[in-house]
Amino acid sequence: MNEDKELIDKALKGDKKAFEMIVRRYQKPLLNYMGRMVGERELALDFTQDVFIKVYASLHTYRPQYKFSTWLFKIASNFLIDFWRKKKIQPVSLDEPLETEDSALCIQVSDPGPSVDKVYELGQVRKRIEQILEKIPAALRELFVLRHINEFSYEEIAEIKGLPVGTVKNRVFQTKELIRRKLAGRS
Amino acid sequence: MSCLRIDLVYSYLEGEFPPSEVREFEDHLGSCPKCRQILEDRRSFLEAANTLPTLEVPEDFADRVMERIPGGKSSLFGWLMALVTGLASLFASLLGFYLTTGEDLASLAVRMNRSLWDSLKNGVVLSGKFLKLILLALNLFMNLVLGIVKKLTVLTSIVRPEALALLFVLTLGLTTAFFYGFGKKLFWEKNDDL
Repeated sequence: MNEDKELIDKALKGDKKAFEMIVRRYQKPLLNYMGRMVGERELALDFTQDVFIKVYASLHTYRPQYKFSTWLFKIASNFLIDFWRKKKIQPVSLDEPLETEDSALCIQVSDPGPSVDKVYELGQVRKRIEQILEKIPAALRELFVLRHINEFSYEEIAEIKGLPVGTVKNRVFQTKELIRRKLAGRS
Repeated sequence: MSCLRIDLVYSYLEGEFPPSEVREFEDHLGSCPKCRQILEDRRSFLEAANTLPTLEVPEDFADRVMERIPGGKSSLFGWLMALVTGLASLFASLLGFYLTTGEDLASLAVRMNRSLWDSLKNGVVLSGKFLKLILLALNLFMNLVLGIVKKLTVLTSIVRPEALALLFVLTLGLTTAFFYGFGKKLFWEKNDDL
């Protein structure tokens, strides 16, 4: 967005109010991303703050040919990778095949399986999705959150994660089917 | 057209399906109940997935971020506030002083100036005296060293060199014995404690 770029220009010239406007614009999507990724509200608030401080410190490295939102989430994603590395938590690599009981996700329509909306009401479905999200590997959860909560396009997610668009599409699809199957009580 | 792959069903629902194939897919849906069921099921799933509840941001969140930014407006504002508060307190104190003592600010300033000058003068005098004391101590130490050197010169002129060598060896021996004995005493005392 051009408006973002104008605000960044002003912030780089020392206008703190412009940076405050950037914070206000992105605080909610960033908190929702962090919240889903770390699972604790207070920790997510702290991390969101830390990411904004990091963004401010490296604002001069931002290149206007990229979208600001993807640059911001790239910093946030790297921040989480550092956090997991320090805590010695190994998120599943997106280059490795999915090793779950649903690894052989059927891509063809052969057996439609039980319908989700017949098992739960919409509110219950949302609640169950949240519960399942907490239990799936962080790397898959991240792609799902970026796509369905932060509403990034597959191309933008590919830019954030530094992955080919095809890989992102395939992993998001597999994650959705994994969640849907768990939701329908098939695993 | 044969039944569609599930990833393409998602693409269709998310508006990412190639426009040229939409018509063909929709025709197939009309004649395939299995694909219709799959489509409706994924539609319900996506409806829920796209409308998950969001976390609310505390009202003061942005302010807290700005407070942490080095040289941020908030911290500059904080400095300004501190300066204004300080000046206001000084003014209130002076006013209070004037109201209680009846002295105006000009006479107060003269008195403060005089008092400052007196303090400065006392400081200079005290520093001078302290310097003189150090010089006296140095002089005393020098005299002591010179006296010892003179006595030693007299002693070497009276006593023969052999006796002087004997005296030196004896002094050295006694000193060594004294420190060795002292060290040993300390060692035994330590072992006694154990």
